[in-house]
Amino acid sequence: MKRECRRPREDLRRWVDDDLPLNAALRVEEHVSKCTECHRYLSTLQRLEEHLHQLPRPRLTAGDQERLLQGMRGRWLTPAAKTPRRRSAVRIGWALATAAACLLAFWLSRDPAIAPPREGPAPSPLLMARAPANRGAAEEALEWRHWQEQQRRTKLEVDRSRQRVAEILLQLDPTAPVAAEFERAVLPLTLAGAPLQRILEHFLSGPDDQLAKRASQVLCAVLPEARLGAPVADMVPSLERAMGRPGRELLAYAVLATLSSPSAFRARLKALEIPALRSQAFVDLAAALPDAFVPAFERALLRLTRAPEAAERDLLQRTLEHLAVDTDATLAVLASLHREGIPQELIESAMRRIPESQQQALQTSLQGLGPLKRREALSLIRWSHDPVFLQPLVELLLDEEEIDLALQALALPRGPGTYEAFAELYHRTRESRLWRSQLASALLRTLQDDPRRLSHCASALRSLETDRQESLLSLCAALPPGPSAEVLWEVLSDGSQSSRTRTHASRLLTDLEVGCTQNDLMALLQAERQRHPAVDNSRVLGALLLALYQTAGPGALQEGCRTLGLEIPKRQQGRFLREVRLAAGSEGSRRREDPLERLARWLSAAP
Amino acid sequence: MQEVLVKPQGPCVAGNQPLSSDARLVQQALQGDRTAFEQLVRAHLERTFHLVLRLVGNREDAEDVVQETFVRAHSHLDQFRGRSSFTTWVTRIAIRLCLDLERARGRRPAFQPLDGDHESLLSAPGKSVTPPERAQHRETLAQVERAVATLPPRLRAALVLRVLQGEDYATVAAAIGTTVRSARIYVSEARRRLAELLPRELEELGS
Repeated sequence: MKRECRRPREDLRRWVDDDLPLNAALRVEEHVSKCTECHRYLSTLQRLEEHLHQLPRPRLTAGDQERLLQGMRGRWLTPAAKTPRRRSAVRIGWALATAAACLLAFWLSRDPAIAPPREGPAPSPLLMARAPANRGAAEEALEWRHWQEQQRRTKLEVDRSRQRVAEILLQLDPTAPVAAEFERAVLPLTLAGAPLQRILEHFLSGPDDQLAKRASQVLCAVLPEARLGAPVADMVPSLERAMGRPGRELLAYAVLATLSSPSAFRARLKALEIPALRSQAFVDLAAALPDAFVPAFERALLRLTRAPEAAERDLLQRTLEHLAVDTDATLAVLASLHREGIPQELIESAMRRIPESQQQALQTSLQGLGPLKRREALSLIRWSHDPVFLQPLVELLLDEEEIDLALQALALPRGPGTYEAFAELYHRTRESRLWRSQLASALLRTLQDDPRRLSHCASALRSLETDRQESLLSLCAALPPGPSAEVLWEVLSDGSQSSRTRTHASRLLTDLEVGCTQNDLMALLQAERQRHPAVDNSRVLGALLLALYQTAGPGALQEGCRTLGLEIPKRQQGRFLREVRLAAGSEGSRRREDPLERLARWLSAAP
Repeated sequence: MQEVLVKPQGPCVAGNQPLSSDARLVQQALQGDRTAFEQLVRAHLERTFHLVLRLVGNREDAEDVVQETFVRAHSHLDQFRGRSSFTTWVTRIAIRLCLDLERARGRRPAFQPLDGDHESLLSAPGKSVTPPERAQHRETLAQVERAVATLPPRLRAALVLRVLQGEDYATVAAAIGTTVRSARIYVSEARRRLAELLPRELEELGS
C-alpha cells in the first residue's frame, strides 16, 4: 500500500458504511477514480459488505422460544422488593441513622482535657469564698487561667527553642554531614520535647534566606528517615504552602523530593504548574513516579506537546530523556505521546533505555492492558531496537493473532532473535500460504538489510530446537537462489549443527537451484570430511555429491569423490553413477526407497 | 418566569412524552407483573439470540448466554434507569456475558458453521444458479463466518451490531461500553482485518 493511500483507505471503510461526511466522501471518491489499488480495495470492501449481509441467520422457532422461556421462568427472582423508590427511601434512612450515630459517638468521646476551657472573667478569691453557689463558675475560671499560663510558658519555650535552633543552624558547617551535626546540637532540645519539625518548617517559609536554606538542608537529610519524631506526612501540606512562596519554591521542593509518600508525590505533581519548578519537576518525576500518578503526569506531558513554544518542546525532550520506561503505565504514556505526533526519535530513544531485567515484568504487565493500549504499547516495543525484546514481542503478537504487527516488528531489530522469531512465525503460520509468502518476503528484506546476517542466522539456528531449525530452513528455501544459498552454506559449514538439520539443509541444496558454485561445494565437502568419524554424515555427503553432479556434471563428481578419499573400484563406478543419477531424479526408479537414502547407504558402505 | 427542569428518574421518560412500549412493560414488570417481562423477553429474544450466536459461534452456548442475559436483566431490572433503551441495556448484558464466556474457555469462539436462511443474492428470483455456484457461494460465506469469528471479541461485537444488526454508532458504543469514536474505530478496524483476511475468496467470488 502506498503511503498516500493510507488515509483514503480508512475513509473508504467509512464510505462503505455510509458514515463519511460529504466533503470527505467526495475527496475519497476522487482518489479512487485515480488510484487502481484503492479501487480494488473498494471493490473488496463492497463484496465483503455484501457477504456480511448474506450471512445465514438461524431462526428461533416458536418451540425454541418457548423452551428458552421455560428455562428462564424457573430462575426468575421476584422483583417485588426491588422498586427504586423503596430502595432509595431505605438507603436515605440508613444514611441518616449512620450520620446520627456518628454525631452521638463524637459528642460522647470528646475529651475535655484537650479543648481549652471556656473563656470567662476570672472571679476574685473573696467571691469564691462567699458564694458557694458560684463555686462551679469559679473553678472553671481558675482552670481557664491555668491553661492560659501554660500556653504562655509553652510559647516562651518554643521561642527559646526556635532561637536556639536558629543559632545551631547558622553555626552548621555546610561542608560537614549536616544531619549528624544538627542532631548532636539539638539533643537537649529533643529531650525537652521541642517541636523541631515545626520549627524547621517555620524557618523554611520564614523571611531569613540563610535560615531557610539551612533548614531545607537539614530537613532533606533527616526527614526521609523520620528522625525528627513527628510523622513525615504531616509536613507535606506546609511544604506545599512553602512551595508557593516566592523564593522558597526550590527549597521546599527539594525537601518534598526526598519523601516518597503519596501525598508528597501529589504535591510534586502540583509543582509541574509552578514556573520556577516545572522544569526540575518534569525531569525528576519522569525518572521515578509510582504508577498511580502516571495518568496525571501523562496529562501534563500532553499539555507540553500541544504547547507551541520552543522552550516547552525542549522541556518535553529533556523529560523523555529521563523517562524510566519500566512499567506498562510508562509505556502507555509513550503510546499516548506517540498518538499526539511527537517526533519518533524521542520515543525511540526512550524505548532503547528499557533495561533487560524489565523484559519479563513488561511482558506480564502488557497482559494487563486493554486491547488498544496493548496494541500501542506493543508497537512501541519494536522501537526499542533491542533484539532481546523481539521474541517475547512476537510471542505476544501471535497470541493476540496480530500477525501483521508481528511482521512489522520483524522489520526493525537485527540480531539472532530476528531469525528465531521468523522460525517461530513460520512454525505457527505454516498452514497458510498467504502468510508463508509474506514471511518469505519479510525474511528476504531482513537478509538484505542485515550486514551480519550469516552470523546472526547461524547463532539463531544453533539455539533453536530441531523443528524450529527446519522451519527456518524451509522458509529460506522459499527465497531466491542467492540469499537461500548463503544461509544453507552457513548451516552446512557450521560444525555445531545437528546431523538432521544439516541433512535437511543439504537436501534443500539439492532440491533447489540455489546457485552454489563448484568451489563452494568442494569446500563444503572438505568440511564434512573433517568431521568426527563417529558422526554419520553420509546423507550430507550424498546430498553434496548430488549437488556437485547437478552443478558441474560427472567430472566434478569424480573430483568430489577424490576429495572424500573415495576409491570406487572400476567395476562399481557404473553402479555408483546410476545411484547418483537416480538420486538426482534424472533416471526413473521403480523402488520405493528414498534415492538419497540409498546413495547414503552406498557411501557408508564404500571403502 | 424561569422554567424548572426536573431530571427524569427511573425508566419513565421525562416531560409529556408518551412512554415507549418497552418502558411501559419495564414499569409493569417492576411492579411484579411477570407477563409484562415475558412480553419484553419475547420482543427481544430473536435479536439477542442472533447477536449472541455471532459472538459465541455455536448454538448451544448462544442459548445458554441468552437465557442468562434475560435472567440477569430480570434480577437487575430495578437498576435500569432508562438512560438508554431497554434493547441497548439487554445487549450490553449479553455482550458482557459473551466476553466472560470467551475468557473462561480460552481465546476464540468454538466456531461451528451456522445453518440458516441465506439472504443471498444467488437465491433471488429470476437468477438461475447452478449447484456448483451455490456450493461455492456457501463455501465463501462459511469462510467469511470463520474470519468474523477470528476477530477479537470487541471488534466482532461492534461489527455485528453495526453491520449485521444495523445499529447506529451511539447504540453500538453504549452496548459495548465505549465512546462513539472508539466504536467507529472498532468497526473500521474489523473491516480492515476482514478485507485483509479474505481478499482471495472475495475476488474469486467477484470474478
